[in-house]
Amino acid sequence: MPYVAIVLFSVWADGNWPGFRGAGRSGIAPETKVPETWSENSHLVWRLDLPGPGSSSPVHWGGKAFVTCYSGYGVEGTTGNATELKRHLLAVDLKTGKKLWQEDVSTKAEEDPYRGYITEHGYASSTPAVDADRVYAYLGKAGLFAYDHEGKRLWQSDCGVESDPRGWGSAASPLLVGDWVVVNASSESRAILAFEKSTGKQVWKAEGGNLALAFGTPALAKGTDGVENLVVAAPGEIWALNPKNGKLVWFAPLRARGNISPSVITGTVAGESIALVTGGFESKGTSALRLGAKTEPKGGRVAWEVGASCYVPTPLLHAEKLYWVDEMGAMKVLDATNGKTIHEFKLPLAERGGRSRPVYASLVLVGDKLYCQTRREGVFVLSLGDKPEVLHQNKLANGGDFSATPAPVEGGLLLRSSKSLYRVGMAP
Amino acid sequence: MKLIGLIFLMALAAGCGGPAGPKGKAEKDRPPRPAMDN
Repeated sequence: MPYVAIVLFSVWADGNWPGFRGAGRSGIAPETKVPETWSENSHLVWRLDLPGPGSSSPVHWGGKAFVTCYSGYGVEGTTGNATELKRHLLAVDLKTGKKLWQEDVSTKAEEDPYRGYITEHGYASSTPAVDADRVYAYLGKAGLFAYDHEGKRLWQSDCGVESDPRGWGSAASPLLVGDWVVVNASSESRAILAFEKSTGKQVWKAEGGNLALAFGTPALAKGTDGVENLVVAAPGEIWALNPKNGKLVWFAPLRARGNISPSVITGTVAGESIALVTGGFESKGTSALRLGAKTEPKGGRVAWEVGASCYVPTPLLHAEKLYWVDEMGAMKVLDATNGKTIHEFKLPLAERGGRSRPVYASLVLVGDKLYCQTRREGVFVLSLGDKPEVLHQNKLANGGDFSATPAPVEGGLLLRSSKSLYRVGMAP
Repeated sequence: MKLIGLIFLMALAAGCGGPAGPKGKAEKDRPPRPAMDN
């Protein structure tokens, strides 16, 4: 079985944004010139109404944007019958905003009922992944799908039809690893699964009951020893898998023993290869772990741990600082070398308190500005550094719920709400 | 009073996603994590 190792943080693919948080899964854009203000009347390039809601982020490749959504169940005006659920993958012309094609997929298994937290994110929460040949969409119990860029379905592979212990659905995004596409099917089969990109044939399955309630996307990272592992965060523990066979190279306990929603992020901190994991409820925390080596590395596996955490959005690592705006709208800057809080403050949101969770999207960094998409109060543009400041707040009227992380595009951003896909910025 | 407490706990459970359970193997029937890479 051919396995082509990829170089972590590989070169930007011609400005494409090919998966959740971009090419390096870092949330950092190759583009540097994005307007800091926009409205319905200024810098709105186009808006396309979608056939249904979703929390997945848009991606783009070669002038086409791809986005998933759902309809038929769990949407206002539909029946209470989960068998009516349909998931959709759309391709959109990046220049004009015109829909190029749409694929509809019916559910094949009993879906989790539309109640509790699933009402907060729905049935299309996994961001597609795209490369030069195909688009890969993980559609929960319906499975993993691959299409060519013209919309021809190439294959479908089953990933399981189970439910997580709380019936919260799934949200992890596919990860492209050389010739394979890797999926966290924690909810559907308590397993990480790898498939051949060209055929959809399953090449390995890494099953473990401790994966229950792990909703984040794994990361591929090279340890200090130069060995590449697939890093998976689960409640209470982190796994490093051999990406060639799915076997466990090492595992370590995590402070956060509750469910893990944010994705694993990796990078170099103080000269060491580090994985950062945050999340958990009620047992929460953030851990920095040294990557590499089967045996515990010098200084121990855990570089630092703190009790602070971000429950839903994935943090952003830049210049040895860890930034997040948590689901309650609190911004935090941590020193990534030791976990100490450098600065924290609340975004000036109108929506506060109760069960309201005003932020689900993850930060993106474009140039020297952080973009924070809130669910109902627009995008905050913040300065970078030890003490970020709010520079602008850009809100589009009647947009619905914006739970998706923005996708930087040449001269602007793709924003996605429960109703529409937008391109804001400079006209192409 | 106990009834009110029970109703509150049921409402809390429903708000946290409800009592849906795994529809496959029970967690105890699985290994906790994948096999080690030797």
